Amino acid sequence: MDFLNRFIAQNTGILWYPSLLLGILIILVIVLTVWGRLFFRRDYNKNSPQVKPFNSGNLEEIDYNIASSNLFWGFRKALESYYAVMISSHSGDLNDYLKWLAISIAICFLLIAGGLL
Amino acid sequence: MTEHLPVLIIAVPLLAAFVLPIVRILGVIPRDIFVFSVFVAVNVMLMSLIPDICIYNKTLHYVLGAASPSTLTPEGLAFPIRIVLKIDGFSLLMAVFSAIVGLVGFLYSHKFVPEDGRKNYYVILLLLMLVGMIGLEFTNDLFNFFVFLEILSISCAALVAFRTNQKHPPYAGYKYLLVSSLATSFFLLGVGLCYAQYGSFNMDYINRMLNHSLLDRVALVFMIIPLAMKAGAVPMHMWVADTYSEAPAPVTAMLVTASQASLYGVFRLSFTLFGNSTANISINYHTLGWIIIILGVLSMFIGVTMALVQHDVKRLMAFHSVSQTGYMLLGVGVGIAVYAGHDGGAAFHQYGKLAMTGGIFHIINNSMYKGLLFLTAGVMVRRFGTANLDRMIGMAHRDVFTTIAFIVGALAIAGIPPFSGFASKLIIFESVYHFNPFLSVIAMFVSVLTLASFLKVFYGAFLGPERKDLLVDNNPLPHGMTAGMGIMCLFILIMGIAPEAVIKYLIDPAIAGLVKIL
Repeated sequence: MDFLNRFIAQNTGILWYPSLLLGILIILVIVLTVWGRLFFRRDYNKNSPQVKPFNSGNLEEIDYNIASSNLFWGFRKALESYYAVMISSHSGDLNDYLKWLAISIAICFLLIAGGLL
Repeated sequence: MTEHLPVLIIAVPLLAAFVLPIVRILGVIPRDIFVFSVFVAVNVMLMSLIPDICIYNKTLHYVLGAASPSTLTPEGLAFPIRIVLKIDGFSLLMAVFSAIVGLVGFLYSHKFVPEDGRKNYYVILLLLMLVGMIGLEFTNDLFNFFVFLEILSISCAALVAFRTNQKHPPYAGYKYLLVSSLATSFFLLGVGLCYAQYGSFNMDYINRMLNHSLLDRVALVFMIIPLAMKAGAVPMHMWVADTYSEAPAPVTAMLVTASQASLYGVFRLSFTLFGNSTANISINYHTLGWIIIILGVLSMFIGVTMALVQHDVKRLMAFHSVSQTGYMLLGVGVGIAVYAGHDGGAAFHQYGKLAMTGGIFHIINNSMYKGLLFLTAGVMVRRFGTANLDRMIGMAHRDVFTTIAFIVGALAIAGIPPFSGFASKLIIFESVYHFNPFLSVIAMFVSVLTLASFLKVFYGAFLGPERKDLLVDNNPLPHGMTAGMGIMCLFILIMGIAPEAVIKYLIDPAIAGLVKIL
């Protein structure tokens, strides 16, 4: 048991048994594989149109794959004003970057002057 | 021989870097064998110190130029006059992982960087980068720390700008050099203020003599803020995305550990130089801790939200580096905030030490999974000739091993079990919750956004139909690149499955090397 204890994160105070979870995962994978082999559909044919995604419309003329830059569009739109500030502050101009070093040091000096540091 | 190991670990790669042009005359293969042997030798030497330092809790001192390397103070003097190397649990932990990433970086570079007549310089700079990292992690001398910081900065800048045939890398290298120069200049100012007061550069000696004057606090600010900038903490992080995205992939993986070496400096100076557990301490550790916590929370949130909207895979990962630095700062910041409190160390023992455990565990985890992700980004750029995610698709059909490596790295950085990121994040969430639940909630929210942005990369680059017409390189991956990613995956899995062993044998000794009120 002492050996097993080394693999258990006891000092977090939360049940976190990585080795046990991994064991359960392996068993689950084996069970699913066996179950799939025994009971899943057998009419699957890899070399037929059934494996291709179904897309309606004229597929010859449109590129139906959504570009990754379009993902999370809603999130970006909702935080538009936040991103306007953030993107403009990442200007690539080194002067902008270095001014934050000066500001950070100045804030720390103010904390010292105020007796907080 | 073993008593000289601390200096040999620095001297061997340093001398190898200078000997390399001569070895190159023998041919490319002898050169590669020579450099590989040096990286392996450094790793073996570092590993051989683990039993003494991490299991038997010893601290090794090595005095350069003394009749006996263990003679700390010369006869007739009450203070050290020579450069002293000091290896405790924290410095050894950082050095071990710097060396592992260095070895992986070299393996990956073997075929990744073409033999165009300039590779010699590349390998020399890799070795100097390793020297800079290990040197500043081992030294107990402030001026020596500055020297190694300079060696590290110059070699990093040159490696970032290495691809001079392209438009952006020289700009990025110049940017890195300028940021580093300014940061190290401020750092030197802080070192000068300490030397003016105490007449010594030795950290332990200054710590003993420290009177916590106004000048000391000014020196603390001049040293810690520039190091936080070099570590990529918000709001001084903007250079990270510009430089990480332009460096060759193995160099970016090593840049992560180089930034963490600066983070090491922040923690080392906070505790070993300015830390004092006695009652007459006058630096307000609560405020210092909160400054580090605020830097950490800002880094986490701004880093991840900026990553989410990037279309350049390397810039996206670079912003995640900023975000992950936030977790480390948060964990160790909570430890600092409750360190030397008026409760006699009760809060520190209750959750402060655990928060530091999580923060330091996250440092080594980050060096592994962030390094791995940058290496997979190297494969993506190699395949498609661009870092633009919109112009990548279906890599999972072609590069199965890279896909698995990416999944391992992405799940680890998002804190999904059983990978290493989960173990360290769980400790941070739980311990920071005792300090301030709101901070823990922010950290968890950032984890969710981290997973979301890596889903974007996975969707963009790996899923979808196979498009051979978009590939600019369809050759099989060289073994060195595969081996490099494989080693990283292995570490991520081991550290995730056996976190308790890692904490017991590596993280706890590291904290013991930092904190005095254990």
